Amino acid sequence: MFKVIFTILLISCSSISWSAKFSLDKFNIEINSNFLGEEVVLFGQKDDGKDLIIIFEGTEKQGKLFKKSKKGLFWINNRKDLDKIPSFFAIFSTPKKSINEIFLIPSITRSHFLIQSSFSEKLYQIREALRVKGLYFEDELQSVEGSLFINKFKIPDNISAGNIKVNLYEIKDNKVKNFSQKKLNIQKKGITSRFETMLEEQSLVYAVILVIFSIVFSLISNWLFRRR
Amino acid sequence: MNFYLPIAEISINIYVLLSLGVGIGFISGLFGIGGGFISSPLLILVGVPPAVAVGSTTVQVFASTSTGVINHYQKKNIDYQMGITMIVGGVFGTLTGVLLLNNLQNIGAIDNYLSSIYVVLLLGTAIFILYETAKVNIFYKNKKFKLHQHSWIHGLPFKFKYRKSKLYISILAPLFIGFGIGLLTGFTGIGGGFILIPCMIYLLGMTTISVIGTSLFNITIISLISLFLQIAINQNVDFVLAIILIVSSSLGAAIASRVIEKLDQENLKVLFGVLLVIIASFLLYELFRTPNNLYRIDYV
Repeated sequence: MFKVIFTILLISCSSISWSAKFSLDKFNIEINSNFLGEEVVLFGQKDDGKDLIIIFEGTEKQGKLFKKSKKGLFWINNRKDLDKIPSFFAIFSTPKKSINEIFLIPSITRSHFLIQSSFSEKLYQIREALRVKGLYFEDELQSVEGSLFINKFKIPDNISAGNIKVNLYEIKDNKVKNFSQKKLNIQKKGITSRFETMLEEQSLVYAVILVIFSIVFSLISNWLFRRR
Repeated sequence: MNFYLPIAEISINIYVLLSLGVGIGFISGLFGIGGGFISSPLLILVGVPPAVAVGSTTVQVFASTSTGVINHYQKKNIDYQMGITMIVGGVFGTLTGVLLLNNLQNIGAIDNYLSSIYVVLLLGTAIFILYETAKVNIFYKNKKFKLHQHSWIHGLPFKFKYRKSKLYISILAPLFIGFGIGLLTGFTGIGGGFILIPCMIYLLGMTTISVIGTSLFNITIISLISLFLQIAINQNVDFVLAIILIVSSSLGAAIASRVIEKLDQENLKVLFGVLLVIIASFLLYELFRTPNNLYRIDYV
């Protein structure tokens, strides 16, 4: 069943936007009130004799990294302020390459802050913190029928809105032979987006509406539930 | 079935959230409390970020007390002089609490501090309830004891006549009590009725007739101020979460109002005390256990 879907997707992509050797089953994801994360299918074709590394890198955002350490009986958070943390980071490769193997390819690591150095404790901590949130992972691309590959993965429900750059690197002898890029767009839509925008840009209006709603809902619920 | 909370930025099982709301409303209805001091820690335990749990609980507290205020306004059970004095103190307390929450959130210590405070509040309330129940039923059975006794509070300066409550006491006492409750509301999201009412009866010596109405008046205004401050400073109030809590807790309160007469009040109090100890134990466990993950990232 999955192979059939994959083949259909591959054929459809070849007729639409098959400029590089990979594609996704969707390039737009909407975050609305029903959003529980989204499964994305990554698929394509690789050249024989070359390894493939595909890196998904979300928009860089400011953030705080907390590390727990024990002081007395309590676990205390130590904070580090960070200027640029990708909102999502995933590495797919075929054949499977460990992060340490990818560190040996400087032309890749130079382009991605999160894997810039194998010795950085800070970057390791960021990767671990993102992994906990489901926002960082490494996986192998599954080969199907010769040179075709496919992988399914989940964009988690805590993903931030923004573009995720999908970078494909063809590797031979630890050197990048070919590179192509696509974008996966994640947008907040509907009432979810409006609430967030209103809270950020018109907090007074948000508060007034919330107060009115809470009084009205409280009165209606009291009336509904207590009358019978 | 999961549901996405836009400000908390997580999806959560709607049935868990509804059961939580109904449960909180049920307990509130049985014991005549706002339920904030149960809902905040429970929301944290089910995975809502602590700051969002605090902010959204404030809305629930405001909603549940505002309808009560209307009833007491109609019955003229509110001592406005006393209420406004406490609100003046409460405004400063709330602002301090909200800024403290913001500061602790920035340094990443919010979960430890909030959990510790909830543990103290929950255990303190549980001990108080269990002690009061034991006092009435075991220690002082068939004996009368005074509710109000004169204390050092009645010797404080700047005395003022509160006509409705027939009190001539220092303005400092309600100001400080208001400040303390405001601080608690701003920092933890709870209304603080379970602390305010004993303070008004035992410390200020107010009559029980005006205590409930005045405390509701105070909590409604303070939670309203806190709500605006939380939104302006911390941006931590989740609209969807708040509305779900309001509706489901109203249902819980309605169920409670129907079964309350069929239940033995003293047994209920003991049960409530035990429930508070259980919630506090979970929080204690979370505080001291070795965390599964040593690293955490919060985006700004």
